[in-house]
Amino acid sequence: MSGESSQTHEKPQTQRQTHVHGVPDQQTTPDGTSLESLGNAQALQFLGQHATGAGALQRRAVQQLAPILGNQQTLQRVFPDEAVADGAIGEQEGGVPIGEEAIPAEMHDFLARGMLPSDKGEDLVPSSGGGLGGFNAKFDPASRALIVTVNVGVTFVNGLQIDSSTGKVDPDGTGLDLSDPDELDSFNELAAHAINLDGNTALSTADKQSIVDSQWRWAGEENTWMSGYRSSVEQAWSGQHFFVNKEWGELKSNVRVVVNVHSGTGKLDHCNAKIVKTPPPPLDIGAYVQRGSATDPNDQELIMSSSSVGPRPDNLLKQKLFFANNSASLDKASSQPGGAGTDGRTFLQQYINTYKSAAGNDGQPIQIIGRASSTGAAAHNQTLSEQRAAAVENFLVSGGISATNAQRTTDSGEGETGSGSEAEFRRVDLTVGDGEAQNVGAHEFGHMLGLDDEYSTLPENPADRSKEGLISGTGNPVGTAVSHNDLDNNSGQDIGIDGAVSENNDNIMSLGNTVAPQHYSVFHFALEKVTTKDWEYGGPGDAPTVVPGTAVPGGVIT
Amino acid sequence: MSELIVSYLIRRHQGTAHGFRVYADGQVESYQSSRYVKAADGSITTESLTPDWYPLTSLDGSQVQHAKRLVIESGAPQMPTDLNESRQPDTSKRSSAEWQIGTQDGIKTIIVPEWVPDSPHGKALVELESQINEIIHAAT
Repeated sequence: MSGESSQTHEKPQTQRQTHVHGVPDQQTTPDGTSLESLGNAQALQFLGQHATGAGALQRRAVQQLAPILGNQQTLQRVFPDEAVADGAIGEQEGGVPIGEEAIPAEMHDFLARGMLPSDKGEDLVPSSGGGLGGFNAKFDPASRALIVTVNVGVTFVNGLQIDSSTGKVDPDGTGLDLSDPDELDSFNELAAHAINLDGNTALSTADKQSIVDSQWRWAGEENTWMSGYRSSVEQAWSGQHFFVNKEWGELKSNVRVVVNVHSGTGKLDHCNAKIVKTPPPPLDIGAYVQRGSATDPNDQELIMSSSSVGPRPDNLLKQKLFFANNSASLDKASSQPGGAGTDGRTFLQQYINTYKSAAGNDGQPIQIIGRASSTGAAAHNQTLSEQRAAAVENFLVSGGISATNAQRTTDSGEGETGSGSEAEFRRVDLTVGDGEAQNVGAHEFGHMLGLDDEYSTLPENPADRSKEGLISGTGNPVGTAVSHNDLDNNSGQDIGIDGAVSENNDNIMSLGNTVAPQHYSVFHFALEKVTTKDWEYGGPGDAPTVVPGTAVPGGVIT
Repeated sequence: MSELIVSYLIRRHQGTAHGFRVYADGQVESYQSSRYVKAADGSITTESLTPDWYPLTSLDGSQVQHAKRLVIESGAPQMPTDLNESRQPDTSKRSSAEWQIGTQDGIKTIIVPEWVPDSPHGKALVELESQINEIIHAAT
């Protein structure tokens, strides 16, 4: 929307010459202008930035109250002994009266229109989602929030079944569409799990019956699952960033995400979810959203393992490299304890391939912590752990883990702290970003909003494993622009929102849980659509507000 | 090692993988990274395994012949070795697959960077996956 002229209120800006009363006469701006000659907003801005004439508490109050109370009420609260309530404020030479909250008249009219575009909201599909995304959006002027609602109808699918008479374990999958190659593939994955359990000769029929019934079939926990899904998704996506109206800087909008999840299907559902009961990975079938049409907000499908809500056990932001006994040599290191798996140098090259920063990006911090087993003297093990961490860091830095940021990695040694004597403790732990394991359900919800994946993968290369990554499959190369890179198609004008590229980091559309500004591009699109106003990125979290009565250093906001 | 008839391995981007190998002598291997184990106290837990091929079961002679016929009928022996067919994948479903087919000229490997390809080849291979699974399942 930025750059376009689609505002519904086209009233010309009125020159405002409101006098500020009650501010000490000796206050002037650095260029000598008396505060007396400034408008309310200018005066408040000046007071918010300068200590002159106002105590620290008053200054803080001005900064935090003005956005929510308006200029006039803020002046009255911050300077209660001054003559600001005498009616002088609120009059304006331009002839447009300032409303009770001392906000621009056009903004007052805008807010008085009520819920936008209507109480029912509007169903939207982001244009750049390639068939992803479908939700209802409306702007609530009372709470100054964009309310995004996603209706999700759930079909609960059992993963496996067992014939109690024969003990034969079979895939169930009732509810999956086997005419769809991807859902057939998910069914085939269930079949592989069934075959492996069936062929497990160490288990009795009773054991298999117990496993199938407790881990692979729904048994009354459906409502608990829906409740957990709703709360985790709403918490993940609400209130992460806010927007500021370009016309009226006083007007800010938070974002509230509402997930209406119910059993069955309905006409108003934006997504039909097939939730397959499975244990956690690697005994799951993963999760994915099937694209719908580019115009229908009600035709998406989510196929997901029930275990995909909550932190995934195979945290892709954390990797380990294991060393030989009493050695810090990468030549003897390996991806698995005791020398098993990929050799150390190949593993670290794969690590670089996987987590290198996109061109122009510094990349998220990588924490490298060396450890040692408890075998041997503690002081020696401390040194050994530091040597292991340093060897890893040197390899990563010299290999180009970041082209622009030499400080991306930090290394330290923990010695034998918390270690036993086993080979698994002779290692280095590598953590990208905040290291928080992804909630796959929340990641998939990003797709349901219209966002694409940001993680990066490399193809398998059996001829040269050092050219592979640690994450298999074929994603985009690091640095490739993803589809929500410029969701409004306005040549990247939305600063702070546009510019999403593929990179493996702790962002929620990559490998972690952080909802970054670019992920709010769909909400930015929705906000501009339902308000027909231009908005820009405001900052992280909700818009700053302070409720009167809040304790601050030296007193209480009154 | 006996002659390989067919092998498939499908890796999801997260790193999990599954697949089976069928040999001419009927031996079947399963690619696994965990399995259920029963502890001495009777409790059942999952045990991590080094991701690799593990012996699973054996097919009889007719099942082996059936598997051979299915491979031929699928058209896999005539497919390109690099099945790099573009598609718009479902999100997070991005997987890769590696198929191996025993032929008179040796083992033919088919790399599928984007599994499941939305093409006749892709549909044929996912069908073959289902059919091979059924044969193996009947033997467990």
